[in-house]
Amino acid sequence: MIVLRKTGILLVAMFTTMLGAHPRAACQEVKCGAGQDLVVQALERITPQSGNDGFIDALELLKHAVSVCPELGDAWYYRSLVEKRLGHDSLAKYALDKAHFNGSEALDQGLNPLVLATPSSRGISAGEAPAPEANAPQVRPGPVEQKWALVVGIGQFTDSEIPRLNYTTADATAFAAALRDQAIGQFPADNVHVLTDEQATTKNIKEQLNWIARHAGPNDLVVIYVATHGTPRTVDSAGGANYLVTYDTEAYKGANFDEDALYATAYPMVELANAVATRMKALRTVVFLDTCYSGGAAGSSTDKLANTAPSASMLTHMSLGTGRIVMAASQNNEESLESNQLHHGYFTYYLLQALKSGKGLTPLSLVYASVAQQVSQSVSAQGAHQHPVMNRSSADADFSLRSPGPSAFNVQP
Amino acid sequence: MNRVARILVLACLGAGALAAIQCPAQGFGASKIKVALQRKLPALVHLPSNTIKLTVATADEDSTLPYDFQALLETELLKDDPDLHEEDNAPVLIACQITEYSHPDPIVTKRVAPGVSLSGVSATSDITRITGQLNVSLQVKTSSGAILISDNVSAKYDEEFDSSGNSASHGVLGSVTGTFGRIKGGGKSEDTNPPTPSELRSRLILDAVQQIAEHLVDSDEKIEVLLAQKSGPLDEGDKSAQTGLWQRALETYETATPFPKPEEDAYRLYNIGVAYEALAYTATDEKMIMKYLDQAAINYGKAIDAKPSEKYFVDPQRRIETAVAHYKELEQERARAKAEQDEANNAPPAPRALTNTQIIAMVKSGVDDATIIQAIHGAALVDFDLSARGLHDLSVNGVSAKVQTAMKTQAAKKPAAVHKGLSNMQIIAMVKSGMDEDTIVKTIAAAAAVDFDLTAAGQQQLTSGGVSARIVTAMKDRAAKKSSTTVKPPA
Repeated sequence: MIVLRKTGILLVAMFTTMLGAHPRAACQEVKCGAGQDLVVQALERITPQSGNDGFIDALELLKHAVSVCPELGDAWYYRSLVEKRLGHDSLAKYALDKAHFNGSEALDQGLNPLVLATPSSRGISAGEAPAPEANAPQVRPGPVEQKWALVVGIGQFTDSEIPRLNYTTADATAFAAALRDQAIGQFPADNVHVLTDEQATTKNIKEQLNWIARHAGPNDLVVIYVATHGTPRTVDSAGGANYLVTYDTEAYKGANFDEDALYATAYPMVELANAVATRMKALRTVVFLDTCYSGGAAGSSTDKLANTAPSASMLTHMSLGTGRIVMAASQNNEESLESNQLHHGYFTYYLLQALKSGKGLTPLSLVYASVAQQVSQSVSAQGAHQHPVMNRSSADADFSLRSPGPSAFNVQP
Repeated sequence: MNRVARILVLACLGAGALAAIQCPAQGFGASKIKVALQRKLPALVHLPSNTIKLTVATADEDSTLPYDFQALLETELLKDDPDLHEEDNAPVLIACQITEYSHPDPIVTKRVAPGVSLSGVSATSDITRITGQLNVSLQVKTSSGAILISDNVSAKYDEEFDSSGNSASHGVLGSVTGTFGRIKGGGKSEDTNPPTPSELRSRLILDAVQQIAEHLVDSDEKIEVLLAQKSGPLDEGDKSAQTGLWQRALETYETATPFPKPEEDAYRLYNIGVAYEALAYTATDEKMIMKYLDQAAINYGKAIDAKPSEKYFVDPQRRIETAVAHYKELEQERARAKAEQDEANNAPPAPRALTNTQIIAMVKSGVDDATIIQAIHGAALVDFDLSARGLHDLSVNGVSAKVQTAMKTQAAKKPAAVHKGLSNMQIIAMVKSGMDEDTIVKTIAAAAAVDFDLTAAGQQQLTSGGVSARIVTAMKDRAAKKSSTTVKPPA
């Protein structure tokens, strides 16, 4: 059985590499783009909850990644974690030495996708930490001490072939304003970081997530909002978005779709999932994802840059731990629509309405209920379908954005 | 040989045979595994044009040397950059000067052979040492005279051979300094026969030419390397290497348990070196290339330390050292070019011309007319719009008639022409170019300005340069005509 699985994984890996089918003289970036996607595929298969099969699959993918691009330090680093998890201590050390040799951002930042930032008290094993007792008391956060937010909205891209979006930046700006509004979110203005268009590069998004991960403590409240294209890999896509298209994502070379360039420049959804699951210590963390715009589905070039919402498994991955809520604008197989009348996307418009009418005090589960109903009704009136979805780390993971807390702290980024 | 001695010899031979059976073969084996690496080295200088002019000169008595050298260099450059072509008035001039070509007669010495003969007498053998050297100075410049790069390259040969013609130094003394055993000739081959004078000459030329080519064009070519064999991890790694999976091969070699004897482990270390070298040639990031090359050099070095007698370990190390040196030189060239660029960027900007807008701005900010007129007269450069529309704009914006007049006066002034007088050197050049005396005398008489050095030393210079007494007289006459000319007084 394992052999068959391994063969399947290898085929996927080989196919992914072949996408970068290139003459020997082709640039190293292409090879490394394919290698990076193999790392993403490996990370999509491993969470603190994964069984041995998942780790064996991930190991094969990571081995292939370093074979395709030996200087991919992150691949070596993640491989060292997986080898260790599988009990291959000497190979884990070898891989870690290679990560040091090649240089690894993940190693430098001490990322570990196998250890949850907020270990669950409901029986989810958190990496090497002992599983909590079945009757262990539930984790209860104290009063909110601080609030942090990263709001990203991208409507135009450096790659002119990527279809523009009409209202994503307006959505992000309005959402950030609602968070800062003393009548709604009451977030300290300095703690709401907004990245729109040219600010929303892959590097900046990573840096801002690091900023929150460094600063947010267990009793803090964290909000992450992202509105842009989401795209799957064409091979082995579990049906959801594997990448977020950032401002500096390169998806086309000339008029030709270039999947390897995309892999090398876009932001992997799994990195966002891991950032939320394994780095955010805040016991109240909510992620709003609007990544499946109909605008992206128009035009012939978008046949290649398929646009999808996050898969159910990705939403589950993102909500591992305690106090996690993830809301997506649409189901996996639906588009997220923008409205020329509302000058917003439907999802964000009704999200803002719900937050406003509840003065930010409505628990997010109820906010979701309202948004889901309003969005589906309004969109179906236009003859289309859109059903927002929500995942939570547990049924009782719920809080409001205006959870009592200090009105303003001056925390420097 | 007595009976005891014969038994001893047989026993030794038997033990040797037994050892050979018990220990699987390790090393390069009779059927050698060769793999091709695609070696890439970036050029040290960026040529601003594909059109070049190549010259090779020498003071050596071997008159065909420059011809052979140039022909080979042209071939080598075209091989790596087929877009290059030669023209007489090319914007890029590549000048090679052969500064030394030495090929002394072989030196034969007697040397004690290793070991002791059965008779107990030390045996001696003739050792022939062959040496040669070719030094070339290279300068590449643009037609405007900007030097792009200048360097010296040196090809050396130094090898010892025993009386059977086998290499006795195993390349340790130097061989050809050529860094890469290219498939298309050059470098050290397995043929260890002493080279004939003609072969030596060809080797030195080829080596120097390849070094020069590496300065000027990106090189991308196949080199052949050997892989050490031994059943187990080495052979397993070799299989990956032969299919181009160098990282896998490296991992197999590196994670294999080291062989207990250093002289056996030397081959594993050598293969690690090869794998790092191969990875260096496929990487594009220069930092990674240097890291891989460093690792290759370290592991080749370890292999040599563990088994100094293995002749196949020597060339790879030399190859890597030269590649490392090439990248270091590239780094230095870039630093030099950047320093030049920075210097150019920091140079004071050329004076900007005074314009209508600036005059209007001065008027509006309340500067009085006298100061403005002073500024106009002091301006190194003016670019006034004195058309009807320009003058109208000036008036509308409050620029007085007095200031406008000053602007017109300044604009009418032509920048003082800088005359550079005819000099001794120009006269000498005219003479050397074959210009007839009459023409030169007429040119001197008609010159707008002259800058002759008619001191004793100056006249000596003219005479040595072939300038006739008639021309010198014409120079003196012309110099005496106008006071504006700058002339050092006649002796």
